[in-house]
Amino acid sequence: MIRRLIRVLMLLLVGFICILVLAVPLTPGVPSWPMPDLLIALCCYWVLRRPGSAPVIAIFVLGLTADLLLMRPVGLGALTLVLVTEVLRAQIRHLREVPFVLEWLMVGSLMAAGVIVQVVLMWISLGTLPMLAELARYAGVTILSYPVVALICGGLLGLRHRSTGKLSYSTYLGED
Amino acid sequence: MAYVSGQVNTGLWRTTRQILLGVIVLICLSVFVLWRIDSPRVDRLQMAIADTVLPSLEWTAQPTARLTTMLQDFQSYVRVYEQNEELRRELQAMNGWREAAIQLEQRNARLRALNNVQLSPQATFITGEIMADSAGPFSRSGLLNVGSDNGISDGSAALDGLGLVGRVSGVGQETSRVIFLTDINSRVPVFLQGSGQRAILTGDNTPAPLIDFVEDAERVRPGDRVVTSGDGQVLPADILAGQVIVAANGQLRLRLAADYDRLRFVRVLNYRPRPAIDEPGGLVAVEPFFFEEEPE
Repeated sequence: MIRRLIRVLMLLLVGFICILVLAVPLTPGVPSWPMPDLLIALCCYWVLRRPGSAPVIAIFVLGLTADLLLMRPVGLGALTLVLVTEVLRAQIRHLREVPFVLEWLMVGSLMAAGVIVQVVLMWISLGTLPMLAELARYAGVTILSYPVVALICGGLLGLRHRSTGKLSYSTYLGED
Repeated sequence: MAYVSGQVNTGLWRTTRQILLGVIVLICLSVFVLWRIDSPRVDRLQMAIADTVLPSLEWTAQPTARLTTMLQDFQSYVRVYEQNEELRRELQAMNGWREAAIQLEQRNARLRALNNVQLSPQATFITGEIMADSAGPFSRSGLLNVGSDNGISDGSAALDGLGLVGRVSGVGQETSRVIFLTDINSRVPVFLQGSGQRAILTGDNTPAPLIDFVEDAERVRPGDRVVTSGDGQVLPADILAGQVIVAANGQLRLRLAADYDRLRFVRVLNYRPRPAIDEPGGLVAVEPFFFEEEPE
Protein backbone atom coordinates (compact mmCIF):
# COMPACT_ATOMS: atom_id res chain seq x y z
CA MET A 1 0.00 0.00 0.00
CA ILE A 2 2.74 2.41 0.98
CA ARG A 3 4.71 1.45 -2.11
CA ARG A 4 1.70 2.31 -4.22
CA LEU A 5 1.34 5.64 -2.48
CA ILE A 6 4.97 6.41 -3.23
CA ARG A 7 4.38 5.48 -6.88
CA VAL A 8 1.40 7.85 -7.08
CA LEU A 9 3.47 10.63 -5.52
CA MET A 10 6.18 9.89 -8.06
CA LEU A 11 3.66 10.25 -10.90
CA LEU A 12 2.55 13.60 -9.48
CA LEU A 13 6.16 14.75 -9.17
CA VAL A 14 7.18 13.67 -12.68
CA GLY A 15 3.98 15.18 -14.08
CA PHE A 16 4.73 18.47 -12.36
CA ILE A 17 8.24 18.44 -13.80
CA CYS A 18 6.66 17.95 -17.25
CA ILE A 19 4.50 21.05 -16.66
CA LEU A 20 7.53 23.08 -15.58
CA VAL A 21 9.47 21.97 -18.66
CA LEU A 22 6.59 23.17 -20.82
CA ALA A 23 6.50 26.49 -18.98
CA VAL A 24 10.15 27.34 -19.61
CA PRO A 25 10.22 30.41 -21.86
CA LEU A 26 12.60 29.53 -24.71
CA THR A 27 11.13 31.78 -27.39
CA PRO A 28 7.95 33.18 -25.89
CA GLY A 29 5.40 34.68 -28.24
CA VAL A 30 6.50 33.17 -31.53
CA PRO A 31 7.71 29.61 -31.03
CA SER A 32 8.86 28.16 -34.36
CA TRP A 33 7.57 24.77 -33.21
CA PRO A 34 4.91 24.28 -30.57
CA MET A 35 5.95 22.46 -27.44
CA PRO A 36 4.52 18.93 -27.23
CA ASP A 37 2.05 18.12 -24.48
CA LEU A 38 4.48 16.02 -22.44
CA LEU A 39 1.95 15.51 -19.68
CA ILE A 40 -0.49 13.48 -21.77
CA ALA A 41 2.36 11.33 -23.13
CA LEU A 42 3.58 10.65 -19.60
CA CYS A 43 0.13 9.79 -18.28
CA CYS A 44 -0.62 7.47 -21.20
CA TYR A 45 2.65 5.61 -20.71
CA TRP A 46 2.17 5.38 -16.97
CA VAL A 47 -1.41 4.15 -17.21
CA LEU A 48 -0.39 1.39 -19.63
CA ARG A 49 2.50 0.24 -17.44
CA ARG A 50 1.32 0.80 -13.88
CA PRO A 51 -2.46 1.30 -13.96
CA GLY A 52 -2.69 0.72 -10.24
CA SER A 53 -0.46 3.66 -9.35
CA ALA A 54 -2.11 6.11 -11.76
CA PRO A 55 -5.50 6.78 -10.17
CA VAL A 56 -7.97 8.97 -12.06
CA ILE A 57 -7.89 11.59 -9.33
CA ALA A 58 -4.12 12.08 -9.62
CA ILE A 59 -4.37 12.42 -13.39
CA PHE A 60 -7.24 14.86 -13.05
CA VAL A 61 -5.27 16.98 -10.56
CA LEU A 62 -2.27 17.04 -12.88
CA GLY A 63 -4.42 18.02 -15.84
CA LEU A 64 -6.13 20.84 -13.99
CA THR A 65 -2.82 22.17 -12.63
CA ALA A 66 -1.39 22.18 -16.14
CA ASP A 67 -4.45 24.02 -17.46
CA LEU A 68 -4.20 26.69 -14.79
CA LEU A 69 -0.43 27.15 -15.02
CA LEU A 70 0.01 26.96 -18.78
CA MET A 71 -2.95 29.20 -19.68
CA ARG A 72 -4.67 26.47 -21.64
CA PRO A 73 -8.48 26.49 -21.82
CA VAL A 74 -9.28 25.70 -18.19
CA GLY A 75 -10.88 22.29 -17.74
CA LEU A 76 -10.48 21.17 -21.35
CA GLY A 77 -6.97 19.81 -20.99
CA ALA A 78 -7.92 17.94 -17.82
CA LEU A 79 -11.03 16.54 -19.50
CA THR A 80 -9.20 15.15 -22.53
CA LEU A 81 -6.36 13.85 -20.35
CA VAL A 82 -8.78 11.90 -18.14
CA LEU A 83 -10.82 10.58 -21.08
CA VAL A 84 -7.78 9.46 -23.09
CA THR A 85 -6.23 7.66 -20.12
CA GLU A 86 -9.56 6.00 -19.28
CA VAL A 87 -9.91 4.65 -22.83
CA LEU A 88 -6.35 3.33 -22.61
CA ARG A 89 -7.04 1.82 -19.19
CA ALA A 90 -9.88 -0.20 -20.68
CA GLN A 91 -7.56 -1.49 -23.42
CA ILE A 92 -4.69 -2.53 -21.16
CA ARG A 93 -5.17 -6.26 -21.68
CA HIS A 94 -4.97 -5.91 -25.47
CA LEU A 95 -2.18 -3.35 -25.56
CA ARG A 96 0.00 -5.46 -23.31
CA GLU A 97 0.80 -7.99 -26.01
CA VAL A 98 1.17 -5.71 -29.04
CA PRO A 99 4.55 -4.31 -30.21
CA PHE A 100 5.43 -0.76 -29.24
CA VAL A 101 4.68 0.68 -32.69
CA LEU A 102 1.07 -0.45 -32.50
CA GLU A 103 0.76 0.94 -28.99
CA TRP A 104 2.18 4.23 -30.26
CA LEU A 105 -0.38 4.24 -33.08
CA MET A 106 -3.22 3.72 -30.61
CA VAL A 107 -1.96 6.37 -28.19
CA GLY A 108 -1.28 8.77 -31.05
CA SER A 109 -4.76 8.47 -32.50
CA LEU A 110 -6.24 9.03 -29.04
CA MET A 111 -4.09 12.14 -28.58
CA ALA A 112 -5.28 13.49 -31.93
CA ALA A 113 -8.86 12.74 -30.94
CA GLY A 114 -8.23 14.65 -27.69
CA VAL A 115 -7.11 17.75 -29.61
CA ILE A 116 -10.21 17.46 -31.80
CA VAL A 117 -12.45 17.25 -28.72
CA GLN A 118 -10.82 20.40 -27.34
CA VAL A 119 -11.34 22.30 -30.58
CA VAL A 120 -14.95 21.18 -30.90
CA LEU A 121 -15.75 22.26 -27.33
CA MET A 122 -14.06 25.63 -27.92
CA TRP A 123 -16.06 26.00 -31.13
CA ILE A 124 -19.32 25.18 -29.35
CA SER A 125 -18.56 27.79 -26.71
CA LEU A 126 -17.88 30.39 -29.44
CA GLY A 127 -14.20 30.74 -28.62
CA THR A 128 -11.48 31.93 -30.98
CA LEU A 129 -10.01 28.95 -32.80
CA PRO A 130 -6.38 28.63 -33.83
CA MET A 131 -5.54 27.78 -37.42
CA LEU A 132 -5.79 24.18 -38.58
CA ALA A 133 -2.10 23.93 -39.49
CA GLU A 134 -1.16 25.09 -36.00
CA LEU A 135 -3.36 22.44 -34.40
CA ALA A 136 -2.03 19.73 -36.70
CA ARG A 137 1.55 20.64 -35.82
CA TYR A 138 0.71 20.62 -32.12
CA ALA A 139 -0.90 17.18 -32.34
CA GLY A 140 1.96 15.87 -34.48
CA VAL A 141 4.66 17.08 -32.09
CA THR A 142 2.76 15.60 -29.15
CA ILE A 143 2.46 12.22 -30.90
CA LEU A 144 6.16 12.30 -31.80
CA SER A 145 7.06 13.03 -28.18
CA TYR A 146 5.50 9.76 -26.99
CA PRO A 147 8.46 7.46 -27.80
CA VAL A 148 10.84 9.96 -26.21
CA VAL A 149 8.80 10.03 -23.01
CA ALA A 150 8.54 6.23 -23.16
CA LEU A 151 12.31 5.94 -23.51
CA ILE A 152 12.94 8.27 -20.57
CA CYS A 153 10.35 6.63 -18.33
CA GLY A 154 11.33 3.09 -19.31
CA GLY A 155 15.06 3.75 -19.15
CA LEU A 156 15.52 6.13 -16.25
CA LEU A 157 12.55 5.33 -14.04
CA GLY A 158 12.50 1.62 -14.90
CA LEU A 159 8.81 1.60 -15.78
CA ARG A 160 8.24 -1.40 -18.02
CA HIS A 161 5.56 -3.96 -18.49
CA ARG A 162 5.57 -6.48 -15.75
CA SER A 163 6.29 -9.96 -17.05
CA THR A 164 3.05 -11.11 -18.62
CA GLY A 165 1.06 -14.16 -17.72
CA LYS A 166 2.45 -14.84 -14.32
CA LEU A 167 0.26 -14.00 -11.39
CA SER A 168 2.62 -13.58 -8.49
CA TYR A 169 1.49 -13.63 -4.91
CA SER A 170 2.00 -9.90 -4.38
CA THR A 171 -0.06 -8.93 -7.44
CA TYR A 172 -2.73 -11.35 -6.30
CA LEU A 173 -2.93 -9.51 -3.00
CA GLY A 174 -3.23 -6.26 -4.88
CA GLU A 175 0.07 -4.86 -3.67
CA ASP A 176 1.58 -2.58 -6.29
CA MET B 1 -5.34 -1.98 -9.61
CA ALA B 2 -8.79 -3.24 -10.39
CA TYR B 3 -7.60 -4.85 -13.59
CA VAL B 4 -4.43 -6.41 -12.29
CA SER B 5 -5.67 -8.26 -9.30
CA GLY B 6 -8.83 -10.23 -9.58
CA GLN B 7 -9.62 -9.66 -5.95
CA VAL B 8 -10.97 -6.11 -6.09
CA ASN B 9 -12.49 -6.38 -9.53
CA THR B 10 -16.02 -6.54 -8.23
CA GLY B 11 -19.15 -4.93 -9.53
CA LEU B 12 -19.30 -2.46 -6.66
CA TRP B 13 -15.78 -1.22 -7.31
CA ARG B 14 -16.53 -0.82 -10.97
CA THR B 15 -19.68 1.20 -10.29
CA THR B 16 -17.83 3.45 -7.87
CA ARG B 17 -15.17 4.06 -10.48
CA GLN B 18 -17.71 4.92 -13.13
CA ILE B 19 -19.44 7.37 -10.80
CA LEU B 20 -16.06 8.94 -9.95
CA LEU B 21 -15.23 9.29 -13.64
CA GLY B 22 -18.60 10.89 -14.29
CA VAL B 23 -18.08 13.36 -11.47
CA ILE B 24 -14.63 14.28 -12.78
CA VAL B 25 -15.95 14.84 -16.30
CA LEU B 26 -18.74 17.00 -14.89
CA ILE B 27 -16.26 19.06 -12.86
CA CYS B 28 -14.07 19.58 -15.93
CA LEU B 29 -17.00 20.71 -18.05
CA SER B 30 -18.38 23.02 -15.39
CA VAL B 31 -14.97 24.59 -14.81
CA PHE B 32 -14.68 25.11 -18.56
CA VAL B 33 -18.12 26.71 -18.74
CA LEU B 34 -17.28 28.90 -15.74
CA TRP B 35 -14.08 29.97 -17.47
CA ARG B 36 -15.95 30.86 -20.67
CA ILE B 37 -18.62 32.82 -18.79
CA ASP B 38 -16.71 34.49 -15.97
CA SER B 39 -13.11 34.47 -17.03
CA PRO B 40 -11.87 37.28 -14.70
CA ARG B 41 -12.65 35.17 -11.64
CA VAL B 42 -10.85 32.12 -13.04
CA ASP B 43 -8.00 34.41 -14.10
CA ARG B 44 -7.67 35.54 -10.51
CA LEU B 45 -7.47 31.91 -9.42
CA GLN B 46 -4.82 31.30 -12.08
CA MET B 47 -2.75 34.23 -10.89
CA ALA B 48 -3.02 33.05 -7.28
CA ILE B 49 -1.68 29.65 -8.29
CA ALA B 50 1.07 31.22 -10.35
CA ASP B 51 2.01 33.32 -7.34
CA THR B 52 2.55 30.22 -5.24
CA VAL B 53 4.36 28.25 -7.92
CA LEU B 54 6.60 31.07 -9.08
CA PRO B 55 9.61 30.25 -6.85
CA SER B 56 9.92 26.86 -8.50
CA LEU B 57 9.64 28.49 -11.90
CA GLU B 58 12.43 30.86 -11.04
CA TRP B 59 14.50 27.85 -10.19
CA THR B 60 14.02 26.32 -13.65
CA ALA B 61 14.08 29.50 -15.68
CA GLN B 62 17.58 30.60 -14.72
CA PRO B 63 19.55 27.57 -15.99
CA THR B 64 17.60 27.30 -19.23
CA ALA B 65 18.01 30.98 -19.96
CA ARG B 66 21.74 30.59 -19.35
CA LEU B 67 21.76 27.58 -21.68
CA THR B 68 19.99 29.38 -24.51
CA THR B 69 22.28 32.39 -24.24
CA MET B 70 25.26 30.02 -24.30
CA LEU B 71 23.93 28.40 -27.47
CA GLN B 72 23.35 31.78 -29.05
CA ASP B 73 26.82 32.91 -28.03
CA PHE B 74 28.28 29.80 -29.59
CA GLN B 75 26.43 30.45 -32.82
CA SER B 76 27.68 34.01 -32.95
CA TYR B 77 31.20 32.79 -32.15
CA VAL B 78 31.12 30.58 -35.24
CA ARG B 79 30.42 33.50 -37.54
CA VAL B 80 32.49 36.07 -35.74
CA TYR B 81 34.32 37.27 -38.86
CA GLU B 82 31.17 38.02 -40.82
CA GLN B 83 29.78 39.72 -37.80
CA ASN B 84 32.85 41.88 -37.44
CA GLU B 85 32.56 43.12 -41.01
CA GLU B 86 28.88 43.70 -40.56
CA LEU B 87 29.43 45.65 -37.37
CA ARG B 88 32.09 47.80 -39.02
CA ARG B 89 29.70 48.72 -41.81
CA GLU B 90 26.95 49.44 -39.33
CA LEU B 91 29.28 51.58 -37.26
CA GLN B 92 30.03 53.79 -40.24
CA ALA B 93 26.36 54.27 -40.90
CA MET B 94 25.77 54.92 -37.22
CA ASN B 95 28.33 57.72 -37.09
CA GLY B 96 26.23 59.71 -39.50
CA TRP B 97 23.11 59.07 -37.46
CA ARG B 98 24.89 60.00 -34.25
CA GLU B 99 25.74 63.40 -35.63
CA ALA B 100 22.14 63.91 -36.65
CA ALA B 101 20.90 62.74 -33.27
CA ILE B 102 23.14 65.12 -31.37
CA GLN B 103 21.96 68.05 -33.44
CA LEU B 104 18.37 67.04 -32.95
CA GLU B 105 18.87 66.64 -29.24
CA GLN B 106 20.32 70.12 -28.91
CA ARG B 107 17.49 71.55 -30.90
CA ASN B 108 15.00 69.64 -28.85
CA ALA B 109 16.52 70.89 -25.62
CA ARG B 110 16.33 74.49 -26.86
CA LEU B 111 12.72 74.12 -27.88
CA ARG B 112 11.82 72.44 -24.63
CA ALA B 113 13.45 75.21 -22.65
CA LEU B 114 11.40 77.74 -24.63
CA ASN B 115 8.29 75.73 -24.01
CA ASN B 116 8.91 74.84 -20.36
CA VAL B 117 7.53 71.36 -20.93
CA GLN B 118 6.69 69.15 -18.00
CA LEU B 119 6.94 65.51 -19.07
CA SER B 120 4.22 63.45 -17.54
CA PRO B 121 5.47 61.98 -14.26
CA GLN B 122 3.00 59.15 -14.75
CA ALA B 123 4.80 57.70 -17.75
CA THR B 124 7.13 55.52 -15.73
CA PHE B 125 7.79 51.86 -16.29
CA ILE B 126 8.60 48.74 -14.35
CA THR B 127 10.84 46.09 -15.85
CA GLY B 128 10.16 42.41 -15.29
CA GLU B 129 11.58 39.15 -16.52
CA ILE B 130 9.54 36.51 -18.34
CA MET B 131 9.55 33.50 -16.07
CA ALA B 132 7.25 31.14 -17.91
CA ASP B 133 5.21 31.02 -21.06
CA SER B 134 2.04 29.30 -22.08
CA ALA B 135 1.95 26.04 -23.96
CA GLY B 136 -0.49 24.77 -26.52
CA PRO B 137 -2.13 26.35 -29.53
CA PHE B 138 -4.81 28.26 -27.64
CA SER B 139 -2.77 31.08 -26.17
CA ARG B 140 0.45 33.02 -26.43
CA SER B 141 1.30 34.66 -23.16
CA GLY B 142 4.08 35.00 -20.64
CA LEU B 143 4.33 35.20 -16.88
CA LEU B 144 6.31 38.16 -15.50
CA ASN B 145 7.97 38.20 -12.11
CA VAL B 146 6.47 41.57 -11.16
CA GLY B 147 2.98 42.05 -9.85
CA SER B 148 0.66 44.31 -7.96
CA ASP B 149 3.24 44.66 -5.17
CA ASN B 150 5.45 46.40 -7.73
CA GLY B 151 2.61 48.64 -8.88
CA ILE B 152 1.45 46.83 -11.99
CA SER B 153 -2.17 47.20 -12.91
CA ASP B 154 -4.38 45.22 -15.25
CA GLY B 155 -4.40 46.34 -18.87
CA SER B 156 -1.03 48.14 -18.87
CA ALA B 157 1.07 48.11 -22.01
CA ALA B 158 4.13 45.84 -22.06
CA LEU B 159 7.09 46.80 -24.23
CA ASP B 160 10.55 45.57 -24.89
CA GLY B 161 13.29 48.08 -25.77
CA LEU B 162 11.86 48.66 -29.25
CA GLY B 163 8.14 48.22 -29.41
CA LEU B 164 4.89 46.93 -28.06
CA VAL B 165 4.91 43.32 -26.87
CA GLY B 166 1.41 42.96 -25.50
CA ARG B 167 -0.73 43.97 -22.59
CA VAL B 168 -1.06 42.83 -19.01
CA SER B 169 -4.03 40.61 -18.37
CA GLY B 170 -4.17 39.17 -14.90
CA VAL B 171 -2.14 40.51 -11.99
CA GLY B 172 -1.11 38.56 -8.93
CA GLN B 173 0.82 39.83 -5.96
CA GLU B 174 4.22 38.92 -7.33
CA THR B 175 3.40 37.87 -10.87
CA SER B 176 1.48 39.15 -13.82
CA ARG B 177 0.46 37.71 -17.15
CA VAL B 178 1.25 39.40 -20.46
CA ILE B 179 -0.87 38.50 -23.48
CA PHE B 180 1.34 38.84 -26.54
CA LEU B 181 0.24 40.54 -29.75
CA THR B 182 0.49 37.13 -31.46
CA ASP B 183 -2.16 35.56 -29.22
CA ILE B 184 -5.35 34.59 -31.04
CA ASN B 185 -7.42 36.62 -28.59
CA SER B 186 -5.32 39.77 -28.83
CA ARG B 187 -7.02 42.80 -30.41
CA VAL B 188 -5.24 46.15 -30.29
CA PRO B 189 -6.50 49.39 -31.87
CA VAL B 190 -3.72 50.86 -34.00
CA PHE B 191 -3.04 53.85 -36.20
CA LEU B 192 -1.29 53.48 -39.58
CA GLN B 193 0.98 56.48 -39.79
CA GLY B 194 1.56 56.71 -43.52
CA SER B 195 -2.06 56.95 -44.57
CA GLY B 196 -3.52 58.15 -41.29
CA GLN B 197 -6.06 55.37 -40.93
CA ARG B 198 -7.19 53.44 -37.92
CA ALA B 199 -7.22 49.65 -37.78
CA ILE B 200 -7.35 46.70 -35.43
CA LEU B 201 -4.32 44.50 -34.91
CA THR B 202 -5.51 40.89 -34.69
CA GLY B 203 -3.23 38.13 -33.46
CA ASP B 204 -3.47 34.72 -35.11
CA ASN B 205 -0.57 32.70 -33.62
CA THR B 206 1.70 33.65 -36.52
CA PRO B 207 4.78 35.83 -36.00
CA ALA B 208 3.12 38.58 -38.07
CA PRO B 209 -0.31 39.62 -36.75
CA LEU B 210 -3.06 40.67 -39.12
CA ILE B 211 -4.01 44.33 -39.63
CA ASP B 212 -7.77 44.22 -39.88
CA PHE B 213 -10.62 46.68 -40.53
CA VAL B 214 -8.61 49.07 -42.68
CA GLU B 215 -10.90 51.49 -44.45
CA ASP B 216 -8.86 51.98 -47.60
CA ALA B 217 -6.25 49.26 -47.94
CA GLU B 218 -5.06 50.72 -51.26
CA ARG B 219 -3.49 53.71 -49.55
CA VAL B 220 -1.46 51.63 -47.13
CA ARG B 221 2.10 51.00 -48.24
CA PRO B 222 4.46 48.31 -47.00
CA GLY B 223 6.86 49.84 -44.54
CA ASP B 224 4.36 52.30 -43.00
CA ARG B 225 4.86 52.63 -39.29
CA VAL B 226 2.09 51.31 -37.08
CA VAL B 227 1.52 52.78 -33.61
CA THR B 228 -1.17 52.24 -31.02
CA SER B 229 -4.03 54.67 -31.37
CA GLY B 230 -5.10 54.74 -27.74
CA ASP B 231 -8.72 54.11 -28.65
CA GLY B 232 -10.58 52.20 -25.99
CA GLN B 233 -8.61 53.85 -23.17
CA VAL B 234 -6.65 50.68 -22.38
CA LEU B 235 -3.27 51.24 -24.01
CA PRO B 236 -1.65 54.66 -24.26
CA ALA B 237 -1.41 56.18 -27.74
CA ASP B 238 1.72 56.40 -29.92
CA ILE B 239 3.55 53.26 -28.87
CA LEU B 240 5.41 51.77 -31.81
CA ALA B 241 4.07 48.35 -32.77
CA GLY B 242 5.88 47.71 -36.04
CA GLN B 243 5.74 48.16 -39.79
CA VAL B 244 3.20 47.12 -42.40
CA ILE B 245 4.07 44.23 -44.67
CA VAL B 246 1.85 42.82 -47.41
CA ALA B 247 1.46 39.06 -47.45
CA ALA B 248 1.42 37.02 -50.66
CA ASN B 249 -2.38 36.88 -50.66
CA GLY B 250 -2.68 40.64 -50.31
CA GLN B 251 -3.43 40.68 -46.60
CA LEU B 252 -1.93 43.49 -44.56
CA ARG B 253 0.23 42.16 -41.76
CA LEU B 254 2.52 43.67 -39.18
CA ARG B 255 6.23 43.12 -38.84
CA LEU B 256 6.59 43.44 -35.09
CA ALA B 257 9.08 45.98 -33.84
CA ALA B 258 9.59 44.04 -30.61
CA ASP B 259 12.22 41.34 -30.83
CA TYR B 260 10.14 38.29 -29.92
CA ASP B 261 12.96 35.87 -30.61
CA ARG B 262 15.03 37.21 -27.78
CA LEU B 263 12.28 38.35 -25.48
CA ARG B 264 13.37 38.10 -21.88
CA PHE B 265 12.92 41.45 -20.17
CA VAL B 266 9.71 43.37 -20.56
CA ARG B 267 8.83 46.91 -19.47
CA VAL B 268 5.36 47.50 -18.18
CA LEU B 269 4.19 51.08 -18.59
CA ASN B 270 2.60 52.60 -15.57
CA TYR B 271 -0.02 54.51 -17.48
CA ARG B 272 -3.32 55.79 -16.26
CA PRO B 273 -5.67 57.32 -18.78
CA ARG B 274 -6.25 61.01 -18.24
CA PRO B 275 -9.59 61.60 -16.54
CA ALA B 276 -12.10 62.78 -19.10
CA ILE B 277 -13.85 66.07 -18.39
CA ASP B 278 -17.50 65.52 -19.15
CA GLU B 279 -19.32 67.71 -16.61
CA PRO B 280 -18.90 71.27 -15.33
CA GLY B 281 -17.27 70.17 -12.08
CA GLY B 282 -17.94 71.21 -8.51
CA LEU B 283 -17.00 74.90 -8.78
CA VAL B 284 -20.54 76.24 -8.80
CA ALA B 285 -22.12 73.47 -6.79
CA VAL B 286 -25.43 74.31 -5.19
CA GLU B 287 -25.06 73.77 -1.49
CA PRO B 288 -27.94 71.82 -0.04
CA PHE B 289 -29.92 73.77 2.46
CA PHE B 290 -30.99 72.01 5.63
CA PHE B 291 -33.61 73.44 7.88
CA GLU B 292 -32.24 71.60 10.87
CA GLU B 293 -28.90 73.40 10.64
CA GLU B 294 -30.44 76.83 10.50
CA PRO B 295 -29.16 79.06 13.37
CA GLU B 296 -31.85 80.09 15.77
